[in-house]
Amino acid sequence: MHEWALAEGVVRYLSNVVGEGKLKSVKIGLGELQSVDEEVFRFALTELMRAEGYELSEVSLSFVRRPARLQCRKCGYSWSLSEVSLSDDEREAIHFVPEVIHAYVACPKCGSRDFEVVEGRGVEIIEVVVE
Amino acid sequence: MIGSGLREEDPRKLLVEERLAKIANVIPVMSPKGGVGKTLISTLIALAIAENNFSVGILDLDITNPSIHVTLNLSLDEKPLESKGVIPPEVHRIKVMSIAYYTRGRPLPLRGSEITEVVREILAITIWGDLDYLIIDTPPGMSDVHLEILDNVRKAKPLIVTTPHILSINSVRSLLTILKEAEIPVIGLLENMSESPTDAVINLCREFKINYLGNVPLDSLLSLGVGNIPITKKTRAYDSIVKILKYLKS
Repeated sequence: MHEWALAEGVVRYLSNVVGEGKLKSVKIGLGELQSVDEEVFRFALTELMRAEGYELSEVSLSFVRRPARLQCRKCGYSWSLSEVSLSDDEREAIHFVPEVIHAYVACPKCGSRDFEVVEGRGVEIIEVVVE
Repeated sequence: MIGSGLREEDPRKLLVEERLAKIANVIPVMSPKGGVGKTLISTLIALAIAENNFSVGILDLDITNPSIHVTLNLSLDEKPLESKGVIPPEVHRIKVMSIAYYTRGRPLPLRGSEITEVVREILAITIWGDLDYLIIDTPPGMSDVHLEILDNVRKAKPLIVTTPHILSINSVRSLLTILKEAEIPVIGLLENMSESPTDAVINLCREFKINYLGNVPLDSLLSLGVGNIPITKKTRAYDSIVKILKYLKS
């Protein structure tokens, strides 16, 4: 239920941006590295939003899966998670703090650990529509 | 897109104050110079606080070189529990949070923005609950970790560590200047690895109108006993730290 903490951040953010308006829709990106359990995250988000007084029947909540894209800062090679092998324990560690991928993965081409997570890190608010 | 990554709208930043709301005193242990003993001082302070029956946590924000699990002899087989966030394991009556749980002792080379991501993530997901004190061990320097703490943890009141060496004193003067400019109150300056109070350190405290917390002797037993808590508590360094506890309470 670490997803609950992530959902809390989103709800605090919504409270800040919605203000006196009426929330119509929220689109959230879920990065592959954080491997958020969508069902658990949705449950946490709806529970927290209900507690904040949102009319959930009037809010469209959608999620977009963001595949991870990594790029080596040394040789420029770009790759996805499917090119590397990670154990369940390693995936779980990355789930909690995505940057620890640098402890378990190196560039498949040159072996450098100095790479950038270009896309697909974690929870990302893509769009909020308020009326 | 209206919110992502390290932008000002980062949802995690909104959670930090909430996560620390039930902590009475947040004390980052800071020094721009490496090797002045921040980690051991942080450890001794946390042990002394726990010994005095106050609730205490320690957060290791030396992200690329975490060591608190070593000084407290905490097995990395321990894992934070997951419950609406992560609950830090407790050892020697100290709640301990560290990136080392997730790196398992492997090297973690990170750039500045990545370190900021880690700090925000850990601050946002860690559920400390009620604490009298949270001690934060910080890396040397004055960069991402320190700025992130000073920007986002409003109740943070740093404790500064120096040695009597002129290079350390000069570095600390820079840090104190920055803290003064930002109007951030400090607990005081602790003189580590020193048999007796040094004029240069005391004068620095006078210059910045801050508390001189005392001197902590260089103690070979402390080095030999790293990770051995009964030995750590028998050191002269520990005895010196016990004497500064009165300064810690806000």
